[in-house]
Amino acid sequence: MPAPTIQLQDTVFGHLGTPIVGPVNLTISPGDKLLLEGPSGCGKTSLLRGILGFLNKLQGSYQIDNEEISPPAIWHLRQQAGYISQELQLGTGSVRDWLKESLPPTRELHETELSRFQLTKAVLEQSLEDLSRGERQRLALVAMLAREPQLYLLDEVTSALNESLRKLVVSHIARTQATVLVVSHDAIWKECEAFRSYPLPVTS
Amino acid sequence: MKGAPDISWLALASCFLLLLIPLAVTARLRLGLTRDLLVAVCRMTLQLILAGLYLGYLFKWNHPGMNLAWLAVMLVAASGSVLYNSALRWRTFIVPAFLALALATLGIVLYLNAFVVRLENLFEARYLIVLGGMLLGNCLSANIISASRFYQAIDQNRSAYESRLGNGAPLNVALRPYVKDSLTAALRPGIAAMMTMGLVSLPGMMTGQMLGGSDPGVAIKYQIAIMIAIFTCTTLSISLFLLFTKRVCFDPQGNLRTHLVLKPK
Repeated sequence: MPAPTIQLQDTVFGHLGTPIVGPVNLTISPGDKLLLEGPSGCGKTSLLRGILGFLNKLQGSYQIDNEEISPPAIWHLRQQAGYISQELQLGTGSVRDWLKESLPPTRELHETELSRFQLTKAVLEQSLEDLSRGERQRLALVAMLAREPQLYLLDEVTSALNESLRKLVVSHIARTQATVLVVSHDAIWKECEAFRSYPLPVTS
Repeated sequence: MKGAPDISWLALASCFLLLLIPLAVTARLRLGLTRDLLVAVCRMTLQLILAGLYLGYLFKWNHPGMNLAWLAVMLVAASGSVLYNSALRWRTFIVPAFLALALATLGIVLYLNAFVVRLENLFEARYLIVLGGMLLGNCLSANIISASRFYQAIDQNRSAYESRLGNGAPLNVALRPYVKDSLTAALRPGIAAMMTMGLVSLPGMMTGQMLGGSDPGVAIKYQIAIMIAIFTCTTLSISLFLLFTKRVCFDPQGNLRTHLVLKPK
């Protein structure tokens, strides 16, 4: 199934009638790689949350494949999505159990998928609370990629990685066929040619 | 069977002399509890005198409709007062709390009356109200604790919850860790109580029956039955409570309606 086309026209997302981000005018076609830019607090994270249906559309139009958004369409979009939030709360318990719940029932991680981002099988035996922030970022990425989503929504996913790992992650994501929306203050994304910038308007 | 010897009102009054000890301790250490203690003792005495009076009438009258109505009054009063002191919004939860507790309590008491005590009249006041009250008292706080814990955990770990949804988890799967955590927290004390029952403490119901002249062999059978009933009632009422509130507390996109669920901080 191809990635969906997302169209936002004068879209304002908010909560309980209070606008949080927008108006946004943006068309995201399958395979697009987009870097959302703007000063802190301008609503980059909120835009990702709005697209995923965690904020409500207050004004304008939000269409997926030319259909105005609805709860079933949001649930369907989430099935196609891979989302990593900047808080990176993975919960508690063992890494193995977390992966079991995060991946499709028959899917297991191969050693190569872990080693791609410098993780080893030993990480499976650890508990989530014992992982460093960088390890959690890499684990979340590995799990997300294993699900093979068509739409990545990535919020500050390289903030705790060293330079070589950051380069590795960015080049890997730039090569995928998936649609990618990135929020990051890390200049490495801007330097990557695969990504075009979308400066977010500052909400008045 | 010979009942417990009656205590004269004068003899009971002498029991209040014992209170001089806690009163002396609270006053000496300036715990600031003297007023609360006196009010609580007065309320407890008055409430129990009233309970003795109305239970006497209910037992004498023994009308099934009246007995059920009284159980309903207990349910409303109990769910209302505990919700009032919890982090949950009264308006959103009072009806589901009442329904979940009513279904669980009534179902289990009627089962006990029909298959364990084997009564002819399943709505007999002595059993319906006493057993129902005991189940209710034991289930209620576990219910509210687990529901508060469930909704507060989702609110406080919003990002983790959204991550699960944002990676394609259906609502029930995204809620699973919170359901597990809240049920475990609510059921663990019951399991611990059964582990030490009869070793560390003699439970109230059994002690009461033995003071009332029952044979210890009979008293323990009732205690075993009531422990199983309490645990089952707790599990059932919490599950029903979460099930009934889920539809109201989450919007069609699976977002927690915090403003309807939790009281403002």
